[in-house]
Amino acid sequence: MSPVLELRGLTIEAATAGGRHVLADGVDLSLAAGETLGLIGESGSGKTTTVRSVLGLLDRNVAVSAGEVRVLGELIQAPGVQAAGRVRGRHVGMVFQGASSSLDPLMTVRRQLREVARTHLPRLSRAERDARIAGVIARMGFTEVDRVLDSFPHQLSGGMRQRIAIALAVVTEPEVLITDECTSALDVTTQAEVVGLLASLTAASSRGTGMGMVFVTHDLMLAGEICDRIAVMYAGQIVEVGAARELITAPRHPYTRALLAAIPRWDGGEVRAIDGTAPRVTEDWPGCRFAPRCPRAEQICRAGEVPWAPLPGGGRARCHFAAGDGPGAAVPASSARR
Amino acid sequence: MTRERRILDVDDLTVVHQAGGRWGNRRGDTVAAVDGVSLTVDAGEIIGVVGESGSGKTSLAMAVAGLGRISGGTVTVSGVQVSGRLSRAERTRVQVILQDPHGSLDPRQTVRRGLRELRRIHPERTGWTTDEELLAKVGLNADLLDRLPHQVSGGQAQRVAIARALLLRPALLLADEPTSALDVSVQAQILRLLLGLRRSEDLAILFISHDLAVVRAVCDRVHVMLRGRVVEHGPTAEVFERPAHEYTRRLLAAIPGRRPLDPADPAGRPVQVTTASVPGGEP
Repeated sequence: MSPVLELRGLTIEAATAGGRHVLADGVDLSLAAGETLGLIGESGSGKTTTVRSVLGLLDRNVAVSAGEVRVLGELIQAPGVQAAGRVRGRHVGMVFQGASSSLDPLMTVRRQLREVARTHLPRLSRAERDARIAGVIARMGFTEVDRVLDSFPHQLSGGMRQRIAIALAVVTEPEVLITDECTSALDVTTQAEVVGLLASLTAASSRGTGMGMVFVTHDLMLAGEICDRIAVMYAGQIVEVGAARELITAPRHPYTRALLAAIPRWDGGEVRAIDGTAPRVTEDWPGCRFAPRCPRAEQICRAGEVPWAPLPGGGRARCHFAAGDGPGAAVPASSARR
Repeated sequence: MTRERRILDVDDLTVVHQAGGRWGNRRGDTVAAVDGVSLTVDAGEIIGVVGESGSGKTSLAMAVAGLGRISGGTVTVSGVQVSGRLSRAERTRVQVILQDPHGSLDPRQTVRRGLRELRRIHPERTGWTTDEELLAKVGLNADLLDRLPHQVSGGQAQRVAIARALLLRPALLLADEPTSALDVSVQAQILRLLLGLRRSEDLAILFISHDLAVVRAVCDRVHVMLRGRVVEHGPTAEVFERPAHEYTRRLLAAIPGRRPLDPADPAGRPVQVTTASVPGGEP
């Protein structure tokens, strides 16, 4: 089956007073129907810029300088091409961190859903749209559908508001849903509830095939729970991609390992910090971006572009030492303990 | 533990807020944000308070810092009861670091000028160290002294906030969600710094967080708050391994990476929490 979303060699640059900065560099990703792909990275890694390009929501000084984005096979982003508006809302839904900022405080939930449905589903009759709206609210796990629909955002809890924001994104039954840190502001029990809801949406929709979801987060453990595959971004590049379970239990890129070791575990154990900070990347960055902070870096790492190494579990890592028994593989596996 | 090592003693603290006459509350209604909480922190201890939004942990923190209301019970810091107006010297005894490090720094002041201001206001407490030595204690280079807050990263800003707190030689450091706004690699750096300071400075730290894994990583003992009450407390490892209260069990079960795996899922993902299994799922 052809992917519902495809990024090929996507490079995004920002023009700033300090010169041109590369925010995303040669990003290759594809998302299949029904699949959940995690995009993991710390602040400034380029994950949000990457998904915002899919939505056509890049800042004015930011542009795609190479590569392309396709949704359902249609070219929507490339140098000189900006057609994201044709698919946004209808075929690509989005949910952001602050649900309250996605909702209009002066409109009931019903009016907001009607507005979205009217804009993107003009061929349906009003009754059909209202049936769709009631259905989507029920799918969000609400039982008192009318009571929720007649509520204003301030009458709902944070978790309920985030479920409404998801309803707004999926009422058009998009093929692709993009969520950016959509559970990060929620309490842990509410987060679990929203994550469960998202998982149910990709499992099946009324069309038969599940929705594909890009789940952007800084929380690697959370991504491990909900995603089929995970891509790890560092300083604008994807450095490792693999099956979620595999990537968390047997990470191969030194950055993925370091990131996992820095996460406090529910079962205790030492938290290990990564020294230094991520670089700001300009056009002529030589070699691996993680090399300055990598305990295993050698001369070869700073020399030139690092090739992808295929991994035993089907994933790939951008590290000279990821595949073999080289220095990259010598980091203790205890850092990957769940 | 000898009596002099007891830094913080919160005894049966109650904090009652007036409802504002909106959100379903009538004007004049009262809400007990903190309802009979007792806890202690000794020198060299890191004591955790965990709870979700609205559990009362910040009302507790504000009362301990001498910045909030105390409706009942007592808060004692190094033998001095916190209530009403404290002298300037007494107020320095509890220093606070907050979630947003940039928010606690004056955007127009270099790090050096900010420290100079503290030294001018509290000359009797701040003569013990130089700016350079102080920054070294929190793992910062002295060249940071001439930067403005927007010229430093979030992790560096939090270190500056910690340095400013340390300069006043506080008996108690109150850390309210000190790493919640930071990236996980930076969070690890700050947690390691706090653990180091506890040892090197014999500091007492009250650590407030919604993140149970972070609390597990740094705290000796933990108090779990729910709707203003402490529902469970004990040594961190014990509470996490053998939670006695149903709410603690539910909180722990909701931590990513902690939920049991679903045997029916071919990808081996955890069982999903449904709306019905969590409180407050319906309006």
